[in-house]
Amino acid sequence: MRLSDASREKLAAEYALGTLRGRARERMRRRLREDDALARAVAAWEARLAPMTEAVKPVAPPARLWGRIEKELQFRQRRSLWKALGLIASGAAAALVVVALLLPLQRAGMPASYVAVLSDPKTNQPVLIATAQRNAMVLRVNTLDPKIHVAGRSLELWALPRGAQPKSLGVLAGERSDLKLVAVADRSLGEPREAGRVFGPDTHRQPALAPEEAEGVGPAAHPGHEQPPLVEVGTLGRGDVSAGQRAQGGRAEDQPTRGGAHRSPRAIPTVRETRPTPWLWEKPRASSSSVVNR
Amino acid sequence: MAPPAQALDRLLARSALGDRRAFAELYQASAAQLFGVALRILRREDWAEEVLQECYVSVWRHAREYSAARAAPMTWMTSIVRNRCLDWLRRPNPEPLADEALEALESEAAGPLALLESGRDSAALARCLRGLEPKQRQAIALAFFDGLSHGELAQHLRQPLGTVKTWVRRGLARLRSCLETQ
Repeated sequence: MRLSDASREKLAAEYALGTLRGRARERMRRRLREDDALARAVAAWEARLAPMTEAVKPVAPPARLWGRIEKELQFRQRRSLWKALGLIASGAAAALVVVALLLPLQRAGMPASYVAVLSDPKTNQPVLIATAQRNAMVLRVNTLDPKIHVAGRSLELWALPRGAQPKSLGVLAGERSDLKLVAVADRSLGEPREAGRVFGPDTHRQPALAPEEAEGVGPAAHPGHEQPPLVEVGTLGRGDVSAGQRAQGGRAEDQPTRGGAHRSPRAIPTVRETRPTPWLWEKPRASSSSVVNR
Repeated sequence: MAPPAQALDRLLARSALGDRRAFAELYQASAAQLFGVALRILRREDWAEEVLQECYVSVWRHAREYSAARAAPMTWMTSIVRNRCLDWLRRPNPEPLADEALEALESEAAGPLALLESGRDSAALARCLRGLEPKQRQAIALAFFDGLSHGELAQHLRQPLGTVKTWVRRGLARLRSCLETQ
């Protein structure tokens, strides 16, 4: 049923003031989820009345309250995981296998970012963090565990659209790299859901796929964004044809995401190695992936 | 005084990204104000504490749904707290309004306006509230600050339900048109 302007206004005002109560309030809440005009009217009333809270005397809550909130959100337990960010797992770099998921962190209508934490599934330790502003054309990749950078090998970041070939996002230039996206993150990174792709130390021995498959990821490659790409890192072996061009420490600008250096993408994983890895901020441990046995 | 909206915006955005330190800062910056709001409506410290816990958990979990375009951060969080408090009052055996609480409310009737007038964002609202008839102003203030329903307003103000509803409705309409001309 459509509300008349007058009833919408009256309902919104009384909801915001708080006099709309009981079942009427519950009905209103259900309605607010579907009726955008009503939701806007409520937001407007909440904004009008909000300054009244400045007249409410602030009262410090008991000190234990923060502890209770932390406990309910399991911050204490998760803190140990986050401390681990700074720890270096020995030998982790030998076979770099990283799995990640790009999560759009905020929903429609908001200033948002994409963030992916890439973990080494052997140790479950985060090794890289990739972030992009929604409207930016840069994917910033910061190193959490420097040991993943090994002399003679370069790290290449791959987007993994579900059901499509992996596409290179570029080669990491060092501990902090800015990779150029072919379109703003919203379009080129889309709304990925889950991912997982694993590389082993000998992936460079796998037959190369057609070079064009490694070209940049962008809207042209993803009409309608139905196949959101995911991100992962693979190593390029010493014997790689383009290893010289991709020597560690090279700058990102020298490694265009289109053509050129990506003509011989030997680290493209096979489907066999794919492992969907739901990755949530809430329970990172519960969803970490592991190395695929070869 | 409420912290600047921009700072809270940033803390909320960082919380949405999973930054717990930012969330702790957000709590530090807002908890006293929100606890004051909850305490005023619920009138019991243990209840206010419980509601606030639920609300901050909810803020953390829904931080990414916060839209700066739609509401100021404090407005958004205050709405969460007020909604939770009003739900809470629906539970069986809510604490009856104690006489002394009632007296305190009445004696404060003029107090909040003075406070509002000194506020950064609230001076216009205070002017418009002053422009209302006293009974309209009182009904709106009791509903907003103390979470009184129409029925409770009627009981407290010793007026028929229909009369109180009319005061609230007319008061709100006048408030809106006044604010729009400010």
